[in-house]
Amino acid sequence: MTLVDWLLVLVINGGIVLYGIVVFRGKGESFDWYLAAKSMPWWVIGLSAFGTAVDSGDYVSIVGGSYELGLSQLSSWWLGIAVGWIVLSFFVIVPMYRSGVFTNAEWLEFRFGPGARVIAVLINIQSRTNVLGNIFFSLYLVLKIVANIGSGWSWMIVVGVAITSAVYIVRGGLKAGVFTDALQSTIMIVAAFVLWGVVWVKGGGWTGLNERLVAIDPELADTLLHVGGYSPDGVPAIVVIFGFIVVLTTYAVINQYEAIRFLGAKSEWDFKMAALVASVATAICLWFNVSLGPLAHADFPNLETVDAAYPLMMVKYLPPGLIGLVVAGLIAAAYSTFDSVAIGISSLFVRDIYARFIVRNADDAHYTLVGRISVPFIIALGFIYVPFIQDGMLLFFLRLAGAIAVPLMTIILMGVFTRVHRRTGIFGLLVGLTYGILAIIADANQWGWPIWITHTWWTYLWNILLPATTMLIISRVISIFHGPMKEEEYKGLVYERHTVTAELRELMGHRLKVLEGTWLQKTLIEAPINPEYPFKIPPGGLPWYRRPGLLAIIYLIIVCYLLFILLW
Amino acid sequence: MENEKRTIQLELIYSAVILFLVAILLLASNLYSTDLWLVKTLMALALFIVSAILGKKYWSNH
Repeated sequence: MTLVDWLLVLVINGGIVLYGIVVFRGKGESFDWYLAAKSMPWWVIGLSAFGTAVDSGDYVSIVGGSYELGLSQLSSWWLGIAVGWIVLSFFVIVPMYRSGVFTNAEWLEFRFGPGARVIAVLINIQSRTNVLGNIFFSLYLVLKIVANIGSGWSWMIVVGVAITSAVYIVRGGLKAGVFTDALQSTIMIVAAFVLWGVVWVKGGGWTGLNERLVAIDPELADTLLHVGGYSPDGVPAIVVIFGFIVVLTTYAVINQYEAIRFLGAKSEWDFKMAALVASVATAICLWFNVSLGPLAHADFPNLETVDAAYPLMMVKYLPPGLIGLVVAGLIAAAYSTFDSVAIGISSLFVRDIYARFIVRNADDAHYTLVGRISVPFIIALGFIYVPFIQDGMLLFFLRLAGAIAVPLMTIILMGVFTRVHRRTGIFGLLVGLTYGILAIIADANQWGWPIWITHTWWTYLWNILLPATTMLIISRVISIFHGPMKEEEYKGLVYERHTVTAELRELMGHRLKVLEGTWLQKTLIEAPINPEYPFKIPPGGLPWYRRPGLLAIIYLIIVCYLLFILLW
Repeated sequence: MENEKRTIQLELIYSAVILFLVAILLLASNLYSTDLWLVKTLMALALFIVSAILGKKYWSNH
């Protein structure tokens, strides 16, 4: 990298960070710091959700992943994450938003009891700090290869990025994170397009790519350039695609750091539209990244560290100036995820562990201060994973997500969409986690269990079916012996098209005796009630372009056609 | 209200200056290598235009 490249990185990223520090100053109240006072518009939330979902670890690991797995990954980023955001914003988040909770784990306690709440927090912390580890490692790799600097300097820059993101989050809370994310998202899309455009044109486009892959191995083009082209031994392609879709649906449904953005929306209409903005931005950006993998395979057919593919492509194709722009995009992606993980996990720690089990009756300022103090510690946790991800970030992440995160998604969906008994949540989680962890151990130690039980891709299927079936059976048994739960006990916790929110708030405030007189109870009752729409509905109804449900259906039809017909 | 107006003004001039600097740096990078010079120059031109629009808006509210 030349001096101009470094200056570009400094001006772009420094400019955004300084903006976050100067413009956003939290008022010191938890509602303002954690939920941006429920004031955020749809387009900001949507861009922020995209910027949070796609981090620099993804840029590098996705190219490394599609270097081996090809375009099959598109099913995750075009369909899986969109399904997740749509399910989240149209259904899962609705009872949470109306009931006044700050976190999805908080809702889980109301629906399934304290055990589910604590396990959800632990799963969120594990999966998100794993992502932080991926980002640290990918940034280090890019800086080392592209900037050609020593390991020590690379790690120092990585730590510097982590520290500066903590500074503006500690100061400005969710609002600082979300608005800087929106700016960082623009840089990310430009950076992804610049690298892809240059490589695509110089590499001879689709035809050139096809010819070069066939020259390496006649079957390689079929494997890498078709969505259904990748299927390891014992795993049909459709199971792989199912796993790819579930992994990011899970991501969107369980993650507090995604949920908190949607909970900070100024109306229900805003968070539904946000899901569409996020889906479209992700689909555009990720086409560039996923299709770079096969291009990298054609250029570097024998890579030992597949995650080196992205930085190697940058060095090979980009001249000075454009390298700086792309590195700035990668660092922007890192920032936008650091701040999101920090605020999301901080809200879980403070509300679901600290205020719930440790200090229950302090004032609002105390809890906001604890949230601010926890931010640097949360970001630092990511470094624990670095030694384990040297062999390929994507595969390591997919293995853990199938075992640990999918059971949590299953119980959240069961809680929102069905009337299973309150006591079933913990059983569903334990069955899923036990199976997932046993599958990993059996696979690693080669116990000889069938591949359809232990392989990564199969765990995505079983970890939906096993916890869901367990919950249905136990719910039925409890109903037989103790009678079914009363309708009143489900009110506001399962999905309902319409709810009288004011009544619900009063009910929520007194639902759990253990919360009586605590800060958690006070904030639940006092959180303002936001409207369903931020504007008046015209007499003839909303025009088509302002109807999020219709737009979601159009989006899903288009990507299904592209994935399962055109590119299959 | 006054505070909000001041924040918007700050955002306008701040964005204009940052975009202007990025455009200058992109043009300057052509001194290191002329590879893809047209792409970099066109991007710089687009940034100059956006920066000018933001700057003009700032002065008209000033």
